[in-house]
Amino acid sequence: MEGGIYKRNRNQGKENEVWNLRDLLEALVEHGISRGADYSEVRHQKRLRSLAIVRRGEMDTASSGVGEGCGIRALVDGSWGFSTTSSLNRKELLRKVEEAVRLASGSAPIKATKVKLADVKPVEGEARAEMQDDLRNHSLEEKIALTIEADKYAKEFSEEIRSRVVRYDEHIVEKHYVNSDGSYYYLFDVKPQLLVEITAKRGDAITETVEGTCKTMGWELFKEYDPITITERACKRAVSLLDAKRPASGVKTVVLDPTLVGILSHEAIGHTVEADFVIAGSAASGKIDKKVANEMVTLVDDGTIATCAGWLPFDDEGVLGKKTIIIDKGILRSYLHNRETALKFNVEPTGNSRAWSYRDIPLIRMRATYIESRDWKRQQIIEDTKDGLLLMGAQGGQTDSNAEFMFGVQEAYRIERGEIEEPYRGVTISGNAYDVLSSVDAVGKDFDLNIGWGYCGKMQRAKVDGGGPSIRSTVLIGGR
Amino acid sequence: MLNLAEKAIKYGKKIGADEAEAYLSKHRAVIADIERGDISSECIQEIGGIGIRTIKDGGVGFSYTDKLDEPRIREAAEDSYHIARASIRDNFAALPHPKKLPKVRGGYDNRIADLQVEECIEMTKAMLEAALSYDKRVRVDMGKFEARVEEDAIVNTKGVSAVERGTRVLGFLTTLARENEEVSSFAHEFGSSRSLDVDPQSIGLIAAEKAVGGLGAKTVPSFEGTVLLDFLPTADLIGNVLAFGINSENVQSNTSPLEGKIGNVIAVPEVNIIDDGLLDGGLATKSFDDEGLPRRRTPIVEDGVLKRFLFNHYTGRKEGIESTGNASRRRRGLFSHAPPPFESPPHVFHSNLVVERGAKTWEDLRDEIDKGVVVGRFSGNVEKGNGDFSGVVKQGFLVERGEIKHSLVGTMVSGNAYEMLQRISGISREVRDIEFCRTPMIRIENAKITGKT
Repeated sequence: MEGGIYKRNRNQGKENEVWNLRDLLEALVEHGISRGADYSEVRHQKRLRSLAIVRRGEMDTASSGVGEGCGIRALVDGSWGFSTTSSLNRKELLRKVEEAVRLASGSAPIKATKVKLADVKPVEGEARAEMQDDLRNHSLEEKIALTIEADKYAKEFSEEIRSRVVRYDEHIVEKHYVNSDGSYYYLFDVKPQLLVEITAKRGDAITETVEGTCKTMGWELFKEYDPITITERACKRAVSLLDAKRPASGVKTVVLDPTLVGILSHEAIGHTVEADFVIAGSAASGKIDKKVANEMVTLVDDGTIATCAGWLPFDDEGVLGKKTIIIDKGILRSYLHNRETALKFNVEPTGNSRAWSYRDIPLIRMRATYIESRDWKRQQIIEDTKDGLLLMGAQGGQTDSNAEFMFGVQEAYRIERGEIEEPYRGVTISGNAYDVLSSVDAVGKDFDLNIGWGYCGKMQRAKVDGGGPSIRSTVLIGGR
Repeated sequence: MLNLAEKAIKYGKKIGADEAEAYLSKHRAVIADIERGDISSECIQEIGGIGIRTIKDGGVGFSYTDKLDEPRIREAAEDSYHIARASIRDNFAALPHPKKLPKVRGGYDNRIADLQVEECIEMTKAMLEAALSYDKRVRVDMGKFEARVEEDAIVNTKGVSAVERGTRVLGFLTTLARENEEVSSFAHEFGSSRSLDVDPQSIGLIAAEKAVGGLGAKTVPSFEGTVLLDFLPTADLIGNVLAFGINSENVQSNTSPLEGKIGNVIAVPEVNIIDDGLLDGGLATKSFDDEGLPRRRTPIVEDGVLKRFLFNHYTGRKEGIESTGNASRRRRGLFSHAPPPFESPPHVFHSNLVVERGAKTWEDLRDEIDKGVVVGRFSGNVEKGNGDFSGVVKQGFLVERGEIKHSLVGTMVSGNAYEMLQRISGISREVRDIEFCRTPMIRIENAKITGKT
C-alpha cells in the first residue's frame, strides 16, 4: 500500500452500512460459485450527481440525482455473463447472479477462445479521495452561485461575448467490490468539475472557446483553480481570436503545450496500446521492445496520482492501481491490460479495467496518461524554433487502428526565428502517432496534468487525465 | 407506472411545489458484446427510474433516482423542490397543459420484446462470422447486438398523462484489415430499427468489405475538389450542425448562426429537411415528446429555404408560440451506451431529422466525380457556432474521372458546413437511419483537401 492513498478506517463513518454491504456482496459472489461459475464478482456502486448549468444568466439546468445498483459478472467455462440491476433487494440480486451464470453458460459453447484471468494477489482495503473542504458541506445554492458569478464576469468582460455557458458538474461515487478470489475493496471518489464555454462575435466572425478544470479534490479545487481566472482565460481567447486567421494547412513543426501533450498521449498513443485494441490488430501490435519514439520520450499511464482526474487506486477487477511505463526512452515496453489480456501476454495486469457505472461492463481504459518531463526550458524550445507554430488548448480528439490520430487545438501562434508572432484561430491536427513521437526533438522541463475536464468515450464514459511538458514535433495541420 | 408517477407529483404539490412533473422510464436490454473478434460477454440490463421536475416561484428544480420505490421517489421530489427554491427565477418556467396525442406506427415489435438471449447470440454470431469469413485479412475490433424494450410514462399537475412502449434493435461492428505491416483504418457498419428487420449478415459483410477497402492507403497532394460524404459523415457534418442551428435553445442564446434567417435561402433548392416525430418506424418516433406534448412534423428546410426552428414548451413560451413537440431527454443516444432518459430534465432536441432523398444512386454520384474524394467516415472537429469543420478523411478514397484510385491516409478535409449546403451537387437515393437522423449521402463541390505534400 502506498503512502497517503489508502487508509484503513473500519471504525470510521458508517461502519455498519459498509460491512453489511460487504457481507451481502460476498454472499452473492459465493452464490455465483455455487451455481457453477468458475469466477464471480459483484460491484456495488452509488453515484451522487449535482449539476448546475447557467446559460446567459438563466438557469439551464439545476439538478441532482442518485444512481445506485450492482453489476454482476460470472465466468463459466471461459465465457462472461453480465447482469445488472438497480434493485438492492437480496432475493432479486440472487436472481441476477443466477442470470449472469446462465448468460455465461449460454454463450460458452460458441466462444472461439476461452477467457482465462491472470492471477493477482487478492486486495483488501479502502481508498478515499482526500477532500480538504468536503463538497458535501457546500450547498447547491453555493454551487449555483459559483456558476452565476463566472457567468456575470463573462458578461461584463466584453460586449463581443455573445453567449456564455457555465457548468458545474459534480460526481461523488462510492463503490464496494468483491470477487471470488477473495478481494474486497471500498472506494470513495469525488470529481467536481467546472466548464466555461464562451462564444464571441464581431461582424460575421464567430469564435468558440472552452476552458475548465476537474480534479479528485474537494471544494478547495476552486481555490487552486479560480473560476474567474478560468472564465477570463476563455473570454480573452474568444475575443482576441475574432480577427485572427486560420494557419496554413500542411506539415509543420509545432510546439505543443502540456494540455495538448496530454491529448497526444491519450489519443495518439494511449488508445493504440490498450491491449484489447492490440489483440484486434491495432498498429501497436508486435511493437513491444521496438523503438517507436524519439529516446527523449517516456510515456506513462498512472493510476496513483491522488489529486488528478485519472486517479484509480483499484480497478474494476480488483487489481491495484499502479504506474505503467508504456514507452521508456523511445522503446515500447508495455500495453495497458486487464486480467484477461495480461494472461494472454504473460505479464502482470496493469490495473486498467474500468466501468463507468454499475450498468457497464469493465473495459480497458486509461487513467492519467502523460509524457515525463526532461531538460528543455519552454522558452528555450521556442527560441530554438526557426519556423513553426505554438499550439495551445485542446478540443476533442480521436484515434484509429492505424495510429492515425486527430485532435483540435484552440489557438496557435506563429513562431519565427524564436519569437512568438501573431495568433491564429484553432485548427485540427493529425498524424501517425509513432511518426509524430519519432519526430519529437525537444521535451520541456515544465509539467502539468490538466485534461481532466473532458470525458473519454469508448462505448461508455471514463474520467481520465493527461499532460506532460511542452514538446516540439512535426504534425499535419488541417485547413479550414 | 402511471400510478407511481401520479403519486410523485401529488407528493411534490403537497410539499409546496407550484407545479410538478414526473417522467418515468424502464427498459430491458439483451446485449451481446463482441471484443477482439469473439463474443466477449452476454448481458441483460434492467433499468428503471424517475425524474421529477418541480417549479416554485419561477425556479425550476430536477432530481432523479433509479429506485422505483415510494420512499426514494419522495426523496427525489424533496430534492427537486429544494433545488427549485435555490434556482434562478424565470418567468417563462411552466409545465404544459395536455394536448391530443397523435397515433404513431411501427414503434413496437413483439419479436424484439420477446427476443431470447439465445437468439441474440445467434444474430451476433451471424454478424461476426460474416465479417471473419469474408477475408483472412479482416479483424473484428468490437461490436454488439442489442435488443431493447422500453416503456415511458409522463404525468404533470396540469393534467398531462401519457404512457407508451417501444422497441429498438441495434447491430454494429467495428473492423479493420491487416496485411503484413499495414493496418487499415477502423471501418464501422451498423443497422438499427424499431422492428426485428436488421440483417446481421449484411452488417458483417459490409464491415469486412469496408475494412479491406481501407488497405493500400496513400496520401494525396493537396487540392480543391469534389467530396462525396457517406451516411455517417453526412449525419456528422450536415445533420448535427443543422440540428444545433435550428435548436431554439441555441437560437435564443445567440449561438446559432441561423438566428434571424427564417425565410432565407440556406441551401441549394434540392434540399428538403423535416423534423418528423411521427415517421413510421422512425428510431425516435413516439406519440408524445419528453414533456408529454404531441410529436409532430415540422418542416425545417423547404426547397433550400429555412422554415422553422424547433421548440419545447419553455422556449416556445419565450416567443409566444406553441411547442413543436421537441422536448427531449435523450440527446446522447437511444441505446445502452447513453444514460437513461430519466436522468435528465427535458431540453430541446430534434426527433427524426429527415433529409429528403435524391434521385441518383450513390454509385452514379461517385461516377460523375472528375477529381475528388469519398469520405467514409469523418474524424474531426466542428465548430457548431459557425459551421467550420476540419478533420481526417477516414475510410476514404481518391476518385479521378469517376474511378476509385486508392484508399486514403494522412488526408484531411476542411470547410464550412453552412457553405457546403450551398454547394451540394447531388443527393443519393439511398438513405440510412443514424440515431436521430435519416440521411442520404451528399456530394459537395469545391471542398478543400489537405494531403502531406
